[in-house]
Amino acid sequence: MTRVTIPIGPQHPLLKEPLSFMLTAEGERVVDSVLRLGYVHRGIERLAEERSWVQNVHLLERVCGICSHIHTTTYCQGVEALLELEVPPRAQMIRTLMCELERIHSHLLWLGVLAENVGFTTIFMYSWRDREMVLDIMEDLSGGRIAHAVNIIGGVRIDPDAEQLDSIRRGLDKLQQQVDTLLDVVQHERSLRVRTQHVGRTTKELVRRHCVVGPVARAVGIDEDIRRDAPYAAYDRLSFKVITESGGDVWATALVRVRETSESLSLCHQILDQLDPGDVATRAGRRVPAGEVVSRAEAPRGEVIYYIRSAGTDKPARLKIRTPTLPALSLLGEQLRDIKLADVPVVLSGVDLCIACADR
Amino acid sequence: MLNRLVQWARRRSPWVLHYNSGGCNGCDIEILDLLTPRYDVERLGILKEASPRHADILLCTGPVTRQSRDRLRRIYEQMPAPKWVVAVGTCATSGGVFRGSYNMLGGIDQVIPVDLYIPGCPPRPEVIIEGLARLLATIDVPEDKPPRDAAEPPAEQLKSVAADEGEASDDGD
Amino acid sequence: MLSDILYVLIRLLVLPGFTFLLACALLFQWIDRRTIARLQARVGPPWYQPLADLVKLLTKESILPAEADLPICTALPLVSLAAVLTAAVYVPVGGHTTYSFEGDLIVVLFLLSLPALFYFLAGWVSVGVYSVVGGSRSLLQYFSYEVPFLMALSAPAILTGSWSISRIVGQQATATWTVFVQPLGFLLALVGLIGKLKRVPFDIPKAKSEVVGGPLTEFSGRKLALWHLTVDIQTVVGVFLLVNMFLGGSDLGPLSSLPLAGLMDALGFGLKALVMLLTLSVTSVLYARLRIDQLADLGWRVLAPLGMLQLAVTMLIGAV
Ligand code: SF4
Repeated sequence: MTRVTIPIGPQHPLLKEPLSFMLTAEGERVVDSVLRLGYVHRGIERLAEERSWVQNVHLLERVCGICSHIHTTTYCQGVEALLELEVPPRAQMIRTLMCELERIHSHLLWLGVLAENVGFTTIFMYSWRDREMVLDIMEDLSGGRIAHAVNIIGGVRIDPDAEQLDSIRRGLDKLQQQVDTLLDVVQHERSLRVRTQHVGRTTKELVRRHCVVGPVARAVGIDEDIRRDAPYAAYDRLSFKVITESGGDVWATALVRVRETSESLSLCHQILDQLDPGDVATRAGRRVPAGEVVSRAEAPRGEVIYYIRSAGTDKPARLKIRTPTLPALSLLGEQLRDIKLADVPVVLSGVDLCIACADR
Repeated sequence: MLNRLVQWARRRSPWVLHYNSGGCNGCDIEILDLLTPRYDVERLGILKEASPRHADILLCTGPVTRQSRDRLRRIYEQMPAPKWVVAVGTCATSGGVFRGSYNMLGGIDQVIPVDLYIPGCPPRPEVIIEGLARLLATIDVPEDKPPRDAAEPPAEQLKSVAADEGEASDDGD
Repeated sequence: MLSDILYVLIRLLVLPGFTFLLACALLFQWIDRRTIARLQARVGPPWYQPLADLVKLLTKESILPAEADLPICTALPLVSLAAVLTAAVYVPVGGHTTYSFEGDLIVVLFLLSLPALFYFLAGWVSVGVYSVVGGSRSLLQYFSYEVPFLMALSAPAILTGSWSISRIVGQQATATWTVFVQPLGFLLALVGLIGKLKRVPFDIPKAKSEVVGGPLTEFSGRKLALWHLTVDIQTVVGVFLLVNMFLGGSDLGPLSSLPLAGLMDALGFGLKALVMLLTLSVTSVLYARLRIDQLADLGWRVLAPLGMLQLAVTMLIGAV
């Protein structure tokens, strides 16, 4: 059979961000793929070295628009460790709250994108409609739908009052019902299952070899979650289940993500109930003592690692970001081999790429 | 009379194409959000198209990175006239927080002509809709000219949408 | 003499001819989009949307890649539009037929299957990768739905013993609607129609997330407008055809004997067409897109045997 090369991207309806795949196909079968990155490389790591510690919070929030809060959390945590700063418990709680809200937003968004990619527009519409509720809550808390600017070095910028907490609780309850419905849909909708089950199968061994983290790893049964294994912020005071599945296909990752959404909702409730009174920030100095630190956190897509080195000035000497999309991309190379062309969108959605994170 | 009809149609049927030339996703998900129940821009006749050939308005997000530049230009050229470009987000208007980076060319207007700027990081969907509505209100088809706006297409335009991506010109500098 | 020609021209161009078809096509598209939007918790486009889209596309610049075959690319949308328009001439609307003869069903079925072929060709001659892949998909898919569709539509003809659509409609008024005799056939025909119109879950050739715009990726302006119009008119003709073949045309059962027969006919026909259209809209929000191999499986393992069964049973009944 003759081979054709099918370019996917950088402008392609399947991708919300530019990234380019050259698929080599024989008829409907994809035999090989070549990946090309770098369309959204903005040189953030270099930019960060030119800006002050405080300005960087603003910059790093814009590494990725979907998981903006987790980036600042990881960064602030690292810098606070270097400063040996004690962050007030109330601030920790609020940070965690935002993290969880963001996870809900990210997972619902993902479900919509998956549905859109298999041509199921209705689910896309419904899950994005429900996502608006989380965005409302986040906006109510911070003033921003997508960029929240909640974190500052030494704590957070927002201090919700009792009334706000109540309205958040109401919003969460409403959302819980919707998430239950969505879980039901993912579990039982025939045509969605037909398209996602047994597609993009990974194995434990593959996942380990490519160091894949997050929901994709949990979907093959690897029980790992930074929130539990190396608790940061307020996670050591909260209780939650780490969701795993054993299938390893795209359907399993969908289940993991939707269940995690439920789990996040319960975490939010716990946080609202246990929210300590007190300050939301401590003062931080402008200069950060020399030293280096590795800061980790569980983003919606898996573990984010920040390496921060300070030379004792008001700017970082080096900042290195490692996001969960990077290993996922290397796994994709294996996954996009010997599959059907129609499964490519499904597999791509399955690993939930965030190119803006990977390219920085 | 005919021109009035054409003007009416153009104002009511803007099909958009979205391209992210280096942004952070924030603007992109807000644009996608336009299609969903709360904002539903199909009310205004706005459809999100997949192929540049079908689109009237190019919604650009993000600053232009060196690698994206040629692709952005090519997408613009693939669109049939009349066409409009909207820069969505602070990055797209000026480069935003990323201004000054070694890999940045700045805003969209460094590469292709822009008809409307919508600042905000990211702009709310309401703002994007308002911007588009204002742009649409400015579209007019003068009575004394034939409605079709058929400029001679530049040679590059004649490449197919899926033209080979791997070529050297795509590498920026 | 002159008035005869005028009469024919009016029938052809105005009612129930092309103007009427165009109006129906735009109306159907609007109803369809609106229904889908409502089911997806959205508002949907205003009533004039299809018209605005059409006018806008018609007055846009029409460009093609340099490697594409310009004359063929220009001709294809025209020819396929002509095919569906011609098909429309033979399909009775509310009891009125512009032309009819013994065997017009076969002509209509043939003409309705042509656009799929031209669609494939369009992908092929406009060279882009997505166009070619989309085009070959549409051809692959063609066989999966066309065979059951043909079988489903031949059954009523065999039952009636006539290949003329108006006769089949007439028969149903005296006996009972075909759908009650052959519910299975009706279902198959419906599935086939969804395939023909490339609607979800059979929108494989134009799957956005895989092949961008499918065969039409490279088309723009006027040519694209004609393609869209073809699909819209195909929808109208397909719906009308099914109403005629299975739902008894304009027959309203006992209500038919009410006064104002002409009005009642139009009403009955319109109502049934609307129900069919809504069925199409509702199905398209309920499913995800199938994969081409899954569709082939469905076509050959399920639909074709069922169609065969239907035919066999019909023939047996006819023989007894
Ligand atoms: S303007 Fe803001 S949200 Fe939009 S791409 Fe730029 S950084 Fe992201």
